[in-house]
Amino acid sequence: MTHVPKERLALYAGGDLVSEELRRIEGHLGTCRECRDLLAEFRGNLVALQFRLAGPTADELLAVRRGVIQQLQKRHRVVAGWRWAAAGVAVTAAVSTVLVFHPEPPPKNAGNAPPAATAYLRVPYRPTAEVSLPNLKRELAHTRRVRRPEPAGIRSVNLLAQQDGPRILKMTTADPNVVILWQLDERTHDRD
Amino acid sequence: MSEPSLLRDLIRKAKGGDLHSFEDLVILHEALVLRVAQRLLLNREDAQDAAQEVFLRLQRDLKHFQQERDFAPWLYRMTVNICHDVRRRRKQEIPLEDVMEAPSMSPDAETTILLQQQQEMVVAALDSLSERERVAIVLRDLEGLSTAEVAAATGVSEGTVRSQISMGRVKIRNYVAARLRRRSV
Repeated sequence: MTHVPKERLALYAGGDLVSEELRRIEGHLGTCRECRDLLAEFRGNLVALQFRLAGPTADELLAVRRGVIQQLQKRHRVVAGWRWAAAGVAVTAAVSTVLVFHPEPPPKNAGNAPPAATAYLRVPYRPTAEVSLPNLKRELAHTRRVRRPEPAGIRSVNLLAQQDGPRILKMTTADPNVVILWQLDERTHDRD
Repeated sequence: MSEPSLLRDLIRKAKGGDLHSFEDLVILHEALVLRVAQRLLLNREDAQDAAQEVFLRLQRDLKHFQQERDFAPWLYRMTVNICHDVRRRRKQEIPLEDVMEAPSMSPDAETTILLQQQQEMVVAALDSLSERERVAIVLRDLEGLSTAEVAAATGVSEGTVRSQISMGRVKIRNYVAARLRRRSV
């Protein structure tokens, strides 16, 4: 008699075979004691496993749940702490930026005023009695901080001689847009 | 609200960061996760650690879960993977006798002892299997998943699962039979 291979009987024991093979093995088991004993062993082992590894107790489940929730709360606190720290750093950075780059409010007539250097040259600061002390201090600080423009020094002088005409001195300055043409007074020149 | 839609709703809220919904997810699935972990690791303390790790990773990775998929196979897979990691980290021998205590049995002392011995042998046999065979046996024979579900949870084909189950059952049987023979001699 040819017995059912152990591997196939193991599948049969767990209900993992279908159709034709299932019927063939059932037919064999009806006549083979040895295979029936082997099948009983497979099933006995399965029952023993199921009984022994039945599942966790209520206390064990509770312990897992508590552990998970504690861990999550801990993680949540850490994340919240980092968020607060990041917010603090951001606020500090913003305040520092404002203090460094915008130490005083812009002038009220900033829209119409010429560039700062020009304004400084044309309208030198003259404190008046109406200015309050805090404003005065701020104005003074501002005046000290404003970079004075380089003096418009003469870079070159050329004498332009014209036939039958006045002599003219051409002076170039540091500003390429500024050229001074100075017509010499012949009488003064003669006198000198 | 039906159970699947309730579960879907919980998952959606938990994905959105609702901690209470996540706690409900834990309560719904803690038995499944801890049971599988105990059966795979055969050690109660390790199983508890693994189950906690499963839920913490679940909280972290829930955003990757696609709602149209089934949740249970995804959770089974995560549990199996974490148990695999825990088992690999664990170096020492498994103290089976103080790990999975036998439930109370019939008053017949001799029968009780024999049954307990057989159960210990079967558990030791399960522990002696390869990782893949043990996972297949636990999911199929103890968790009652179908071959297709085991295949989905372990990421292999159904044919491979069938082969692992078959080999696992035969090895357990041979292990127990060999020890029983040795005792009777």
